[in-house]
Amino acid sequence: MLSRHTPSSPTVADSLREYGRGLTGGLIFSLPLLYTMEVWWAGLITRPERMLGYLAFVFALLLGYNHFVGIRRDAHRIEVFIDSIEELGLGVITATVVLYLMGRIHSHSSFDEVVGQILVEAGIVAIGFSVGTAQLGAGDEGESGEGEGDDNQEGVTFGGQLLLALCGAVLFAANVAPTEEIMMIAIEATPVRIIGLGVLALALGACVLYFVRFASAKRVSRAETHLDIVAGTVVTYAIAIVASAAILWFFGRFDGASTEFCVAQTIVLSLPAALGASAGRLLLQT
Amino acid sequence: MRLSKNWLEWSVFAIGMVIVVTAVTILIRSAVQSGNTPPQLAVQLGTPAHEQGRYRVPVVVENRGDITAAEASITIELRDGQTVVERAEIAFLFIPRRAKREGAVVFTRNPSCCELTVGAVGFETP
Repeated sequence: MLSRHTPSSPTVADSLREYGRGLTGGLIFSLPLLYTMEVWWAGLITRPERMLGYLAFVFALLLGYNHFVGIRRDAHRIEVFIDSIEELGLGVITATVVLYLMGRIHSHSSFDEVVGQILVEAGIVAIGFSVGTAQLGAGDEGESGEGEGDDNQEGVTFGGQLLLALCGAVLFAANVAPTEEIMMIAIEATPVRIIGLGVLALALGACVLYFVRFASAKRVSRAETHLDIVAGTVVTYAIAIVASAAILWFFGRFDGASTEFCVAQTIVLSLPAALGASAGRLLLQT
Repeated sequence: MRLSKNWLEWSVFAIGMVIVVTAVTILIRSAVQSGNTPPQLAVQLGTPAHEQGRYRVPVVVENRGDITAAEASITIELRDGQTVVERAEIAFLFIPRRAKREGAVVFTRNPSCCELTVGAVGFETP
């Protein structure tokens, strides 16, 4: 007798619940950016080549995140790929609905406008979906992932931690990068103060990682020696810098700007990015 | 390796695959086809309408270039030969590539007395 489902496939109700969690989490993380007009403008301005690079980056982030932290931690590579595709697709659908309801896309908008705005927002919603499903489902997932995945529970690999830091940095930094405040600060603050912001970012990163009693701090950062602390902080800040630079470049803040101005903007953005990177390593890990 | 998924999950995956492939195809086609021509704003003036003692002229601007125009400003002039009788300006935040935007200018003089022309146009290329 053939049964409709394999013994371990989830019911439709389970799947719907999971998608609902993803949608909620997705919107929680991405709504601020859905309501930011500079992101809509990015959809209008961005050239197709840059948009392709953006989507590739988002997809890579999704693959990495789903692999290391995603819903099913014992997932095969195919499942990671499937999940990432689903998240991107659902991101596009959600972004379309929200943008339409907000009146950002109409029947008389040009094709390029519509596609551009949808795709920029879809990437953000997709990341939100990924993080949201994992976060809101933590502890609730009765799947075998909890048991079988335990062999790499003792410290996600170093690469995994870096990726989580990157996700956290991108989430935090992307929320403030599109608007003009970063540019204004970089223009108006003196170099000494900007360096001060960088030092503050480094210090806060170190604090969050090692001294503040966050939920799973001990598990992530096993600080054996002072050298470990320094190395961990520096690596996390490096990720914050990379994330800041990438996001600023995507929003065109580097176009035609002097090196000094680019560096200044990157350091200014590195403060929220560093907080995201260090908090990300702790919080995004279930 | 057996994937345990129900029909809903497979459907979502299929739809997602279609969406992603479509989006990438659109972007690749757009990247290959569109060049780098700067914004080319084509302005169309509609029929003046008499409203509350003034004269409203609809304006439609189309960007025929490959690059979005930002902070576009268009001057519409009422000319009598070489003299500019009245001038109005209209500004648009963005006119994306191959897109149209609509607006209007309102004159105090009746445009039928003179010639309606489009004067200087300015914009930023972001």
